Amino acid sequence: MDDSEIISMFFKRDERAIEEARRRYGSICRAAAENILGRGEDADECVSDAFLAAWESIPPQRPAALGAYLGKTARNLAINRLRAMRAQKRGGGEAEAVFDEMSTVVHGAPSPEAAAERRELLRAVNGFLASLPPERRGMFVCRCWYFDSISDIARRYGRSENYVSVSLNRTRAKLRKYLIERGFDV
Amino acid sequence: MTSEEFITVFGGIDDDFVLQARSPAVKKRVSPALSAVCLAACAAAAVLAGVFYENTTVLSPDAPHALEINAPAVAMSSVTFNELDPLAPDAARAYYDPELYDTVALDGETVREYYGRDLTPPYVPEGLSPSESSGTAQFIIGKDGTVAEDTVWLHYYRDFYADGSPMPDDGIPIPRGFTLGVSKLGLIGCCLYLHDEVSATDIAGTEVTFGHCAMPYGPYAPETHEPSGYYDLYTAEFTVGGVSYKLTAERLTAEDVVRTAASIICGEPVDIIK
Repeated sequence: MDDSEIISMFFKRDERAIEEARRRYGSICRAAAENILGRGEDADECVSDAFLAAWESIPPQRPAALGAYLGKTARNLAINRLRAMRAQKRGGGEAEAVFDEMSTVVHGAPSPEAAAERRELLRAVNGFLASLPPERRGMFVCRCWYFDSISDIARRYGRSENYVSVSLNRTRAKLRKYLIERGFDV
Repeated sequence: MTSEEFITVFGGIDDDFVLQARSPAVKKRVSPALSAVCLAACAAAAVLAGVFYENTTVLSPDAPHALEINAPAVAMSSVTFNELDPLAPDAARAYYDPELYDTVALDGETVREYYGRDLTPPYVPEGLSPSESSGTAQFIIGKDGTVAEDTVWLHYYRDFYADGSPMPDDGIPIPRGFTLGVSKLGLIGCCLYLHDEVSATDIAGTEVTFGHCAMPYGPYAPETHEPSGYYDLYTAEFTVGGVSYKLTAERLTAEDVVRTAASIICGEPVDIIK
């Protein structure tokens, strides 16, 4: 069953849509949630909430890539939960390390984000990612989007952990330079 | 902007990037021997076995970033230090019957000819200098011309006594620096590790076994025998280009130890990422 068939089931309010979506994309959602929150109840709840959110948003949404849509939902839910947990001084997973690493790219004080500013930034980031060789881009996305550990990325890409660490470090430095050149206040 | 805000924005990247990251096309890595030939043809600057971005980037001329030769670098987070047994006994020296073997003193130039290269590490921590005898050797050679022992010792310390042995320079009775043993025959002797399973660290395709021990130093309290303090002893053992190396460092930082070992492997100074 492909994405369009599953989305049709969402539109027909056929509850098997969730089962099929979970079968096909449960691993992406689980990876994002567990990498951010660590394994356990919190991550499980995020994954379930992601499919529930998809049920409630499709329709009217008709995602072009269902896997990415579900993954992004799970990721956002996990980040929100992590924020709440950090407020209560709990936490887990790789997210803290990724936040620390990205502070070498941007390190300003918290500021109110206009929607337009975020769109511009996202456009720039997509442009940056498009300029990278596929392997380097993939490793960076695995780290900053999926919050994969260095060792998991090394295993997935058939590289040493040292290679991955240095590649990520250089990509972060390049991204910072790219954003500054385009006038972003980082 | 905070990193958290950025990470949230990053969540909205192109769907294709999100999905492609999960299914990389993992290329077959080329053997070090073949990469050495190709890198020589490309006139790469670094030691062939140790170049960080060799293999798929350099050997695929049609790849868009094929000639991106980056300075080698090592991330400290990828280095594992195995704990050493501080009471490991020194290995007893082998006895070579003078009827059958000669002890031959070799100067630095002859050692360089034997090893085909200058054994001076491309990176030496600041403040250290070589002893006068550093890089010379006494080989044990059989009457038939066979080399039985070929270990060369290089000593880099802050200061030396008149006889060439390392001298402490700051009130703590342990000199600061390192000794590097080099041998083609692999006769330097190995360290005794506390655990059966020893973890190696990959540096540019070479497996390095790093060791650490917190060593006590005196004077020792007469009643309790408590030491005055502890210093870090680090070791690094590896084989590259058919030559075995053993680095033993006293009172240096872990970063300096890794940087020195990595510079030998890569043939040039190496960046360290903390």
